[in-house]
Amino acid sequence: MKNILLIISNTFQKEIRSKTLIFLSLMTLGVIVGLNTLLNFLGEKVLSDLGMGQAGGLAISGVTLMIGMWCYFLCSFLIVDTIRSDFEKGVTSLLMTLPIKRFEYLMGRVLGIWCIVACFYFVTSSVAFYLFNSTTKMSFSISLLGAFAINLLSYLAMIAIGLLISLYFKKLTGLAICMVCSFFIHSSNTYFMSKPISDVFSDFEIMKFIGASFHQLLPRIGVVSTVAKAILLDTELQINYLMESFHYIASLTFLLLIIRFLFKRKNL
Amino acid sequence: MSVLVANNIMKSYGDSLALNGVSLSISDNMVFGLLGANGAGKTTFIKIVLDLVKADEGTVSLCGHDSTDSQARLSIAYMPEKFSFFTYYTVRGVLDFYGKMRNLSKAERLSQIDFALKKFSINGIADKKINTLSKGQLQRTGLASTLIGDQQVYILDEPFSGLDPIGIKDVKDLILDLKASGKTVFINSHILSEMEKICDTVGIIDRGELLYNGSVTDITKKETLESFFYKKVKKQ
Ligand SMILES: Nc1ncnc2c1ncn2[C@@H]1O[C@H](COP(=O)(O)OP(=O)(O)OP(=O)(O)O)[C@@H](O)[C@H]1O
Ligand SMILES: [Mg+2]
Repeated sequence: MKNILLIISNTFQKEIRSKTLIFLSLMTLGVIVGLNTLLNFLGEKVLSDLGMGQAGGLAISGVTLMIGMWCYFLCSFLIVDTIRSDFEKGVTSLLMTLPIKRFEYLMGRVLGIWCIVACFYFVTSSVAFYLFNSTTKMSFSISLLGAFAINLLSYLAMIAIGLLISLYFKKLTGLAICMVCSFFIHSSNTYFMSKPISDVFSDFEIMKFIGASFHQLLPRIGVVSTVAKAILLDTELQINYLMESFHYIASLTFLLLIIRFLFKRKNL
Repeated sequence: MSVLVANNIMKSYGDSLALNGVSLSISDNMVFGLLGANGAGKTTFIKIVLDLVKADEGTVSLCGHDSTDSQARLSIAYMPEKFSFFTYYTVRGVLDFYGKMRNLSKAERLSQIDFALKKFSINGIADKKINTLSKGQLQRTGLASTLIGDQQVYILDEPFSGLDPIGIKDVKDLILDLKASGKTVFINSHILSEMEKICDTVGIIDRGELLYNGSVTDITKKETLESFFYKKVKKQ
């Protein structure tokens, strides 16, 4: 446990300097502040005169969407970046000669990146929430925190998927594969969320089959983020929450076990 | 007692055979040198011992544990061929990280770091970042890291490389000190003149095969280690 904590703090120190992270944070905050200033400058009256009374609401959903997308990007980017640079600088092999288990090192990296993404998510959404508060009249509620927590679950799964990819692919290729995977998982999750899995066999297509396999075998980040959205907007979803929770835990555990198995046998 | 026992280690990278049935046993409180030309398989052997690289065949036991068991690494200090660490760490930071990993208390870390820095004359650059160091300074940092925590077995891959004459002397003295305090030292090198002076036993490896494994004094009674090495390797 002490070793994992040491790697978590090392990951924090390592990736907090990442230029991409700094750039994205500043840019996101810039967009939020810019949009807010614009809305305030125009004022409610002008906006409704222009037929844009909904602008405030639109702005906040746009910003939320942007933050969510950056979070997925950061999950993939940071895990691939940290694991690959450890490999390329020969630090992985050096660390593995110290009294730390291989899997502990990986878990330290995953949890460290998760903390960073959570911070990014928390800070940018809090600023957005605070600034847009006057325009949207949204009040702080427990559902906001709930959505935050649920989203974190999908980021954790994304980091684990990125970790698996980073064991075998270089930085840029790995990042590209992560983005494609994330897109593909999201789409197949959204597709199969409302359809029974037997739909695959009704008219068999290879893409549909791959999509169904992704949906069955990997953590359903698409479903998780839909749940978060539903909590935030207080809408009803036609899904079996118990089943989905079980699926999340089982598939994430399965994924981590595969990673553990592969990394244990890897030449460093 | 044997600290390290390797049994019939085979390893190939694709088509090329890096180690061909190497068996080796190193007893406690010894300085062992593995000698061989470039590409002979020295680093590969060390990496297999440390479980960084998986052997195709054979087993290694380290301090009584199978080398794949993480327990085996509790008493090992290792210095790689090319030392590198997170570039934003300072020299002191690196040593502190090692100390934390090896479960030392704050007071122990402070005193051992101080000792290691002095031992390799790098106390002047203790607060410099790793990526601003010269080759030799980096090498000294790597060597200093092996002194953090009281390890039993020291595995040093080319410890002399990149060092000035004073550095070479420091390393030789350190190895003899380690031996005097009951430790076992495993060195990879091709600097035969230095190895002759510090090793108790040597192994000669060529193209993945162990050609000789025995005491240095047996060799130096008749000839220098250098001429013995040439004869063995050339005969192949
Ligand atoms: N990762 C690898 N992939 C492919 N071949 C490798 C790899 N690592 C080592 N080899 C090959 O294995 C053989 C042994 O290499 P090794 O690094 O063990 O040599 P060495 O004795 O340490 O040499 P040197 O004195 O130059 O350090 C070489 O022919 C090398 O090309
Ligand atoms: Mg070598």
